[in-house]
This record gives sequence, C-alpha cells and structure tokens, in this order.
Amino acid sequence: MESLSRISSILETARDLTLEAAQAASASGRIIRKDGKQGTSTQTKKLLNSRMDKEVLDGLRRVIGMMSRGIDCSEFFADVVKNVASPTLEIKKLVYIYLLRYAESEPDLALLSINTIQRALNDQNQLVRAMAIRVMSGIRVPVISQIVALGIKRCVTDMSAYVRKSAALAIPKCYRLDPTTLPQLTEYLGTLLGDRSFYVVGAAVMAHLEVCPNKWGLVHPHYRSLVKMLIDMDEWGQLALLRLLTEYSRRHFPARKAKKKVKGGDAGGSGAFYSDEEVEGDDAKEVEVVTVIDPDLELLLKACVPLAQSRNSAVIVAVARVYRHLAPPDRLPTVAGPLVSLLRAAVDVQHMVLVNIVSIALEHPQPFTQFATHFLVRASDPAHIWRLKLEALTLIFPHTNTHTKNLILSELEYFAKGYDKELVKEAVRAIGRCAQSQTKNAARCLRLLLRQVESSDGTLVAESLTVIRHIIQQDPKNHAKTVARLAKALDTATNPSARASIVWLVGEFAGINDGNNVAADTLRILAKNFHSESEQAKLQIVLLAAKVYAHYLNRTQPAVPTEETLDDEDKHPISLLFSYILLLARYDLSYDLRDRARLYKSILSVPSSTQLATLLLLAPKPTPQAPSPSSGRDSFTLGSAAMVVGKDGDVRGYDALPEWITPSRAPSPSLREPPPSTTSGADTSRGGGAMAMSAAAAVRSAGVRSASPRIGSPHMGSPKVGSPALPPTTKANGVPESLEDFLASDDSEEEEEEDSEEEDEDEDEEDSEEEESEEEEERGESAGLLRAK
Amino acid sequence: MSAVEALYVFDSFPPATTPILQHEWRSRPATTAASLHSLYKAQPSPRSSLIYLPTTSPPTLLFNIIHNNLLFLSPTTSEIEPLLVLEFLHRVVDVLEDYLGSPLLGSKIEANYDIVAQLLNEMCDDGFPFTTEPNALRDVVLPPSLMGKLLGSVTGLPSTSIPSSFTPSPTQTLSTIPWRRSNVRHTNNELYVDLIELITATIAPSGRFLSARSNGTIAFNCKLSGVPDLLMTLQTPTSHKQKLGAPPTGGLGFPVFHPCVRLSRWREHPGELSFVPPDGKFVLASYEIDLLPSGNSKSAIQPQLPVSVELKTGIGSLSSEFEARVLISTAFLAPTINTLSANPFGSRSSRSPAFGGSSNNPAVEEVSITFPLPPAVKTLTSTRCSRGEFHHDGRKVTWKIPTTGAFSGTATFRTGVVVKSYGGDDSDEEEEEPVDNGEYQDVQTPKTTKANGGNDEEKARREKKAKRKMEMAMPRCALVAFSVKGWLASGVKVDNLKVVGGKGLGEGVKPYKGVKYLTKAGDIEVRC
Repeated sequence: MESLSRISSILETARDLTLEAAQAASASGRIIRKDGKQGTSTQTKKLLNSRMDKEVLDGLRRVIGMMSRGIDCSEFFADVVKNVASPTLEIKKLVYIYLLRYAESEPDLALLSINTIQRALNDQNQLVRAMAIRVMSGIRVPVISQIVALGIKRCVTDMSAYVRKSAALAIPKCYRLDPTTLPQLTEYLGTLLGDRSFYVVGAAVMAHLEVCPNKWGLVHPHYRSLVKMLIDMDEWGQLALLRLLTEYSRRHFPARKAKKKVKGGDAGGSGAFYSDEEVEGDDAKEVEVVTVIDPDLELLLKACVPLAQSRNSAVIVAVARVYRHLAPPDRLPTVAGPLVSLLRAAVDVQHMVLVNIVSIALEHPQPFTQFATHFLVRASDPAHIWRLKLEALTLIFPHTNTHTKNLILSELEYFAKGYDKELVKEAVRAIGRCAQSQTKNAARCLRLLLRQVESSDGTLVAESLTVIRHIIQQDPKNHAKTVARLAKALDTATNPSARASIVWLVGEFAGINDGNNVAADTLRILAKNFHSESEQAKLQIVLLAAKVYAHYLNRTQPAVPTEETLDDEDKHPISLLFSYILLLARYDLSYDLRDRARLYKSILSVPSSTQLATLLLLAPKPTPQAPSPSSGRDSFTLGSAAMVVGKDGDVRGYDALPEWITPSRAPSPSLREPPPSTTSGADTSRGGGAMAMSAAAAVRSAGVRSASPRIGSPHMGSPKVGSPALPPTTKANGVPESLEDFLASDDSEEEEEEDSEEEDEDEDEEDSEEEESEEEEERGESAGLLRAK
Repeated sequence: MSAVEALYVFDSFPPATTPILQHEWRSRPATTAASLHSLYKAQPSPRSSLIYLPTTSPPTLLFNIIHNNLLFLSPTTSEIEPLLVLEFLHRVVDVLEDYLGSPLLGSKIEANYDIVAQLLNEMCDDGFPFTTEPNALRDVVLPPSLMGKLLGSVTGLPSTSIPSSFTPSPTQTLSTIPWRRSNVRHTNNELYVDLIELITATIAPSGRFLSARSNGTIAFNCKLSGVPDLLMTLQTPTSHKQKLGAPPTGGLGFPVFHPCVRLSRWREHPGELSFVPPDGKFVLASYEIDLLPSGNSKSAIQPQLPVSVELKTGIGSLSSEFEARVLISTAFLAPTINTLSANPFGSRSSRSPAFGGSSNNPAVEEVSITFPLPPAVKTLTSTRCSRGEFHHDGRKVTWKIPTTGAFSGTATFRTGVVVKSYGGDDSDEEEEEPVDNGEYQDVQTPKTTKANGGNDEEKARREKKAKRKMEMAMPRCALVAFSVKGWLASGVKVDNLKVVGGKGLGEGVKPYKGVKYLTKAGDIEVRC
C-alpha cells in the first residue's frame, strides 16, 4: 500500500511544499543561532537541577536534542539520572531515553537508578510499568541481570497486554546481558507464547527467534493457536511468526509423497501442465506423484491466504515465502498476483519485490505469465529495476501465448534501439535468452538480432553478435544460412569490433558442408580492402584465412602429400588467397599481426604439422551458456536480504532453510495437540475447516485477552517480587495439569459469554483501582466492535 | 540477530555530512553515521534501496529511502527481511509527518528532538518494531501542543518552547483496538474520503495501448467521536467484473487493506468495506484495475484518456525536428461525471466549496508533457509551442500546457535538435556518443571513393549517416502528466458510506461526509 505521506503529497500541491521549505530554510538559521546561545553546559546543568518541572523538562529537551544530533552528552549523566524519580511522566520518559543510551558508559551511576526503576514496575499506570521493564532490560549493565530476570518474571503475568509485550521483548535483552539466565527466560517465553493476546504473542515470537530459535519444544503445544492468531496480530508479529513457522514446518512436517494412479486420459489436463517438473518418463500418464500435505501445514497455508491482502509488503512477501518453500508449486498462483501487485508501490519496494518474483520465476515462471504487462519497462525506471523487469519478461517468455510473445519481443526490440547503452545491451541479451529458452522462437529472435547487426550503433551490433554467436554455436548445423547472412552484413557493418566478430564467426563455421560455404568467398572479398580494416578486424581476417586454408588442406591432404600436389595447390584460389593475405599481413604496421601471420604460415606450410594446425585452429569450442543474470538467487530463502545481495555478498546471520525432514525422523503430530483435552477437541474440529477464528470467537478472545492471566490480576496492582500472594496456578503456568485447569476455566467463561465476563470484571473491580476497572469495562465493550477476519 | 539497528537522517538541502538525527536502538554500531553516509554517496546514482557494504567491519546492509529532502539511512549487520526495514522506514516517515506536520522538513525534526526521540523509542524496541500505529502512538507520546502546531503551520516556525500547560500524561488507559486511540472527542464530526487513482500506461507508436492500469488508493480523514463502526460500499463498473484471471473481488484487482477492514465481509460481499476507523488520516485500501478489458482481444475498445499525444520525430528538411500534438478533451468525461456529481449522501445538500471538483464538470489540470532527450542532443533550436511554455533542463524538456477555463482542443509543440559535434569541445561527453565517431569516417571515406569512384553514392551514404545520427538524437517517448478532479479512470465510485454502529457518537449526530475523486497520470508513456 502506498504510504500515507506519499498520498498526501499527491493531494497537496507542490507549491505548498516549496513555500514551506523556503520558510523553514530561512527559519533554520534562527534556530541554530538560538541553539548556540543556549548551548552552554552549565546552563543546561542548572536547568536539570532545578526544582521546577518545567525547567527540568527544558533541560532534558536540550540534552535529548544534543544526543539526537550526535553530540556526546555523558557529562550530564549525574544531573539527568537525578530526575529518574520524578513523578512527571514526561520527565521520566526523557530520562529513560537518556539512560538507555548512556548507562553503559557509567554503570556505577546507572546502578543508583535501578532501585527507582524497580519501584516503577509496581506503578499503577501500565505505561510506567512497561517503560520500566524496557529501560531496565535496556541498560546494558551485566550486574543487574538477575534483577532484570525477576522483573520480567513479574511482568509476564501482568494484567496489561502492553506490559507483557514489553516483557517479551525484554527477554532477548536480558539474554544478551547474561546468557546464564536462559533457563529462566525460556520458561517465561513458554508462558508468553501461550498468551491469549495476539498482541503479546507476536513479541514473544520475536523473542523466541532471537533467544532460542532451536527450542522447538516451546512451539509444539502452541502451534495451532499461533496459526490461528496469525491473522489478528500486528504486521511485525505476523512477519516474525511466518519466519518462525516456515522453519518449523520444514523441520517437523515431512514431505510425504504418495504415488497415485491416474487413468490415462485424466492426466492430460493437470499432468501436462506441470509435466516438466513433476512427471518423468513414459509412465507419466499412469502414475502421478502427489505431495501429501500435513493437515497442520495445510492449516498454516490456509491461514496465510488473507494475509496476502495485508498493506505491508513485507507480509505479502513472507506469505509468498511460505507458499514457495512449503507448498507444492501448483499453489503458487495464490501468491503470484499479490506479489506482482506490489509493483505499484514505491521504487524501493518494487526493487525488493522484483528480486523475489524473478527468483520464483526462475523455477516456476507459469504463475506470472498473465502479468506480462506489469513487467514492461518504463522510461522512469532506474537500472536496477529494468534489469529485473527484462529478466522477468524473458523468464516467462517460453510459457506465454503468441500474443504476449509478440508483445515481449517487440518490447525488447524497442529497447534494443534505445540510446541507453546498458539497456540496449541488456535488451539484446534478453532477446538471446528468449531464443535459447525455446528453439521454436529462435529463428524469429535471430531475425530480430540480424536486423540489429546493420545498425550504426556499435554497442548494439557488438552485443547482438555475441548473442547470435551463442545461438549459432548451440546448433551450428541449422544455421548455415545465418552465417551467410552475417557475411553479407559485412558490406554494411562499420563498427570495427563488429566486423572482427563477424569474421571470426564466419571462420568458425568454415568447415560446414565440406567447405561448400561462404567462408572462402568472404575471405576473397575481405582481401580487397584488407589495408583499410582496423587492426582488430585484420587479425581476424588472417585467422579466417588460416582456418579456411586448414580446412582446405584437411580436405585435400588425406592422400600422401607429394611435390606434384603442392604445385597444384599453388594454383588453387584458396592457397593463393592465403598467401596473398599473409603477404599483406607481413608488411603491416602491427607487430602482433606480423607475428601471427608468421606463425600461421609456418605451421601450415609443412604438411606434417597440418594436424597440429588443425588442433590449434579448428578445435571445437564449448557452447557458451548465457544463464539468466539472477540464476543462483533462487537457492536463497525468499524475502531474505541475502537473496537481494546475491552471490557476491556474504550476509551475516543468513541461514538457508533446512531441508524437509525425512518421514522417519519427523516428530509425532501428537506433540502439537494442546495439552488441555477439552479445548483441543473443539479447536481442531473448527481449525481444520475454518480458516481462522469465527467472528464470534475472535471477538470473544479479544474480550478475554486483556484479562487472560486473570488469576493473578487482582494483585498485580502492587505485587512484590516472588510474592506469596500469587496463587500457585500462576507459578505452575507451564505445567500441563494446572494449565488445563486454567484454560478450561477460561473456556467455560467464553461459553457463558458476556454475563460471566461482566462478573469477572466485577471481581476485578473489587480489588483493583477505579481506573483499572473502567479500563476493563471499556475493553469488554469496545472489543465487541473489533473486526473479525 | 535480525534487528533494525539505527536510524540516521541526513538533510540533503543544504547537503551536510553530519546527520540531523541519529537514533540507535542497539548498542553503538561499529560504523559511524558519517562513514555510512560517505559510503552511500560513493555508490553510483540511482542507488538501490539496499546497499551491501562489504568493506565495513562487520559487513553492513545499508537501507535507505529518500523523503522530500531527507535521506533516511538504516544500517543492519545481519540478515533481515529487507522489506521489513523499508516498510518500517516508511512508517517512521508517516508518523513523523503525522506528528510534526506535512511536509516533513529537517528544521521540524530539529525543533522537536524530544518528541522524535520518544517516537522512535516507542516505534522500535531493541531493534524490533514495537508500536507503529499512529493512533496507538498518540496514546503514548504527547503530540506537539495544539498551539505550537498552529504556529508551525502558519509561520513555518515550529514551536521551540514546550507547552506551558502540559498534562501529566495523555491517558492512563490504552485502547483495546490497536489502531484507534481511546477517548476520541470531536466537536465537529466529519468524514472525508479521497479516492485517488494513478494511471500507468504504455502506448505503442501505433497508438495502441500495451498496458493501462489504474492504481487506486482510498485515503480517509476521519474525525468521529467515540468508536464508530462504518460501512462503505464501492461501486465498480461491471465491465471489469469478468476480467480474465482476476479473483472475484468486485472488480478491484489485488486489493490490500488497512488492518481495520473486516476481511470476511469483503470476501462475502465484494465492494463492502466494514471497519472501525482509526482517528485522523489513514489509507484504508488500495487496489489496481486493468483498464485494458482483456489481454488478448485486439478488437477491444481502447481506454480513453483525457490527454492524448501524437509524436512525430525526424521531420523537417534535415529531419532534425520533432513535433508533438496534444489533444485535450473533456467530452467523454461528462457521462461519468453525471453519475458522480449526484450527491451520494442525500442527507446533506449544501456542499462545501472546497469540494467543487466533483460538483462541476471535471477539468483537466496540470497538463505537462516531458520528452526525455538522448545524450546526443546538444541543444534545442527554434522551439515553438502553440500554447503554454516549455523548459529545457539537461536531459529533458518539459512542456506545460495551461488549461485555464475548461480548455479542450489541440496544442502543438515543435522543436529542432542540435546534435553534439564530435570536434571534442566536451570530450567527456564524447565517449557516451552512441553514433559513429569521426575517426571511423576517415577510414570509410577513402574506402568508398576508391571502391566506387562515384561521388553520388558517397553523398547518399553521408546523408543516410546524418539521418541515422539524427535518429539517435530523437526522443523515444513522451511522458504525459495531468490531473483530473472529480473523475476516476476506472469508474469506481463510493456508493454509500454510513455509520452503522459503534458507540460514542451521540444520538442524532449526523457526521458531515465528503468524497473527492482525483485521477492523476502516474506514468503514461507514449512511445514513438
């Protein structure tokens, strides 16, 4: 989706922007002057030590301003931290921001503030609690790791989802601080992954990816609920979860293939469609290999479908990654459309999306064929965009209908005639790739290319010839006429390197049809104007002469050479031509040319070395391959930075997706059964069919989420560390038996619908503060308005 | 591992090497902002939005976007989904504009460092995107006070002093709806919808459309109290419904939605958008519509655009001129407008004059034609146009056609091209010459004279060469720009928009609703 700023810039006229910018420019001078005046550190310190909140705030604003500009502010540490206990929220916030940045450099002083922050964990305001846990985990002083861990423990069971989310993100920070806290942290993580609020779960997944990505045991019991929550999470949570589940699926859902007998006639439709990829050999019509998708994986695939309508392009690409790497190829069309539609976004997004499209199309071009017009290059496209677009066009080329083929070819031809040299080169190469990918079209592409040879543009000619050479070398037998046409182009071609390369080509195919070809004739014509050729071309002409002569010798020499035959040879035009060219070359200005002429002369003059000359001159050349420029990218995981950077780069932290696990090593699907029997039964029966939660269920769970760890909630207003007031159920949250009770109780509440919820709220009201209860009530009611997807 | 590590903002006007804003979410990165900036500058323009810097230690992935005059750089040292970072950066820009006022300028950031720091701190925690919804942020971070905002927008001077009467905390409560802040109160309940379509088209020399698409966006400005529940019905012309290969989405191709939209409703009743809107400005949905009825049939009716261009190159005695004829016609817009101007909201008859665009006949505005020029062009001579003015700047010439009143008719633009000489006064340009250079001609001349002896043939050749040279100096396409208010190329329109539920909006309060339509030429390329 277009960003709001882009849309508003469309709506506003450009004049407003420039006017305001001009005003700002004139104003900026004033601001800087003012900054200079107020910049003295003593003044700032004085402000920070003031008793007036307003002055302190002003001082803090100055410090934050300097910090943001990159000026070192560590001198104010003591003065700033002094204010950490301020009751004013705004001051607190700014002090925290400062602490996050500078605590590392002054660990001892920072420790003084810990006590105050710890106290803030008990604040009535959820914002303050969340801020406290964030700043506590964020100040990188290793000594306090245990305090942080305790703080996280308390916040994990906080009644505010916002605080729990902050706690989830504090886990990786705590882990970095002190890796030995890992066992505690994973326990908290397990609790958070099972949270009822999708708000929290997203953050928990991020933490899981960061701290212990290989502890799959934590994910198993929550797999199904995670998949169900996917749709309701915020975009960033969706991204994290899709990343986690992609790897999870590879590791836990074995790729089971089942062979299915298909009646001969039936296979015609679907079998032929994917015949290249899946079916091999003659028995294709009888046996079709069908990938059996694990029902749990199917759940994920289905849950992803609505995400393809996300406004966040990263989510759409993540969905594409799921389909590319987890689903059978015939389901790719689901994501092809949404991916292509991202091309309407900003250029930066376009680039990333094109990289991903091309990497899919390298293997599966089919789903993109109907979007050919989306890949038309526009005049405003920068180089990295049109390169990818041309590649996409060539990849889908063999699979499209004639109409689209015409469109693509004329498009390529149009760009081949442009004035942007790079684009011309790339377009001609693209034509070549089109020709190679499908021999049926080769003739047409060749015609197109030959037309370019006569152009006056050197780049175009040179590039076309290279491509033509590749095409001819792949199938020399059928291209005798092409060589003749090329030789004819020598009359008009003017570019030196183009001429040289034509001459080389003619020489390369001088042996076709037992010498019954244009090579000798070409040589004769070229000999006329030998002196006016460029050195480059001259070298090739001499080489051509040598080749033609070598072929001639090979044809005539099987008989033992005698003195008489040599006399005859002198009369043959080819040998005459050869010696004429050598003579010309001998008196040329170029050393190189003279040397080469001498070499060819001596090597071909003695019959005994003819064989050697043949090896030297007429060795068969390997057929060059012109792979798609992005080939190799498809081995990377879709949507990764490593894929964009490509082969040249080595992106730190990139791990390829694991291979599918073998069926024998796959864990039992029963692991994924959620421990409580009552809910799981209901869930699976619903989950198999319904894509996500039904509308009512979503609303209900949203209503429940704010109060989900309600067992401890009445006390959460002012809990103490390790408070004995916490009921035992909270402590044993990870243990299935108690969790069962916990969930079962929740579930029954759900069934009783609003009545019981209100009751619960009443309970809450008794213990917690007025504000809190108001909040609860509002949640219960407003949640009814929540959308259900 | 994968985290957004830092954000650096550079002002490119005036260009500076020190950032005007730096914010680090993780511990101090190894590569400084200044060196990242110089490495960024070292890349040839146009730059990719993801630059891989293998020379830094550790190797850095540098993400960058440019907004107005501001350059946003965000380095990452380990694998991360590129689009995650880019989307996040766009979100940061949106939020900053929301808080500091549009357009976002360096000076505004400088004047509100405290707010910006709070926002960035809240939007990303430890490198993970945290709260990015503008409404949710409003609950957490105080906006610059109303007074300061007013000052900022009137004089362009953002407030440099804090509001004297700032409240201790915005709200103790957080909204349960992630995208809508709690306790919304408005004295005037208003609802504005903007439907904006950008036309992207490529037109072949023959005049046939190779591709024509309309990319639509539905932008909202919602000022409703409480928690309203809205239902918007879109009407799409039926001709697009049976599009080949398109999913049945009621004519809108590949829509994407703001998270507030209930997707199940859309799935069951395509064209109906049911949602609880965020407060303030937001983008509700975007879609694309193929204006070519179907990819294959050549006989199909071609889409009509209000501005059409006919480009002729290589004309004149020396074939060194090109001419463009522009036809502006609003005639065919009229039928569409009749349905549009009918007030879709019968409740209110008096329309604000600001919405005049849809009540009058749509007029074509801001018409301009841009010709990208090849590097071989030295300058333009004897340029004339029947209307408007032109501006030649480097590698392109832009011709602006004023359309005061309801102008429709034709206008012509004609110019001669002077090709760069190869004498070598500007040698750096010479290597870029796509045309043959003089050196070659020296070789060619003796050859032809010797071979043919005749002068005529040589002359013909030279003429041909000159012609070719001219061909290489001709523009290959024209880019058309225009905007039409009150008309949508795709024919989509808002059929209905009503408050169907929710709470907080008093009984009998009828919010004022306004709809605007705007079509702009996003990228229309006429080839020749």
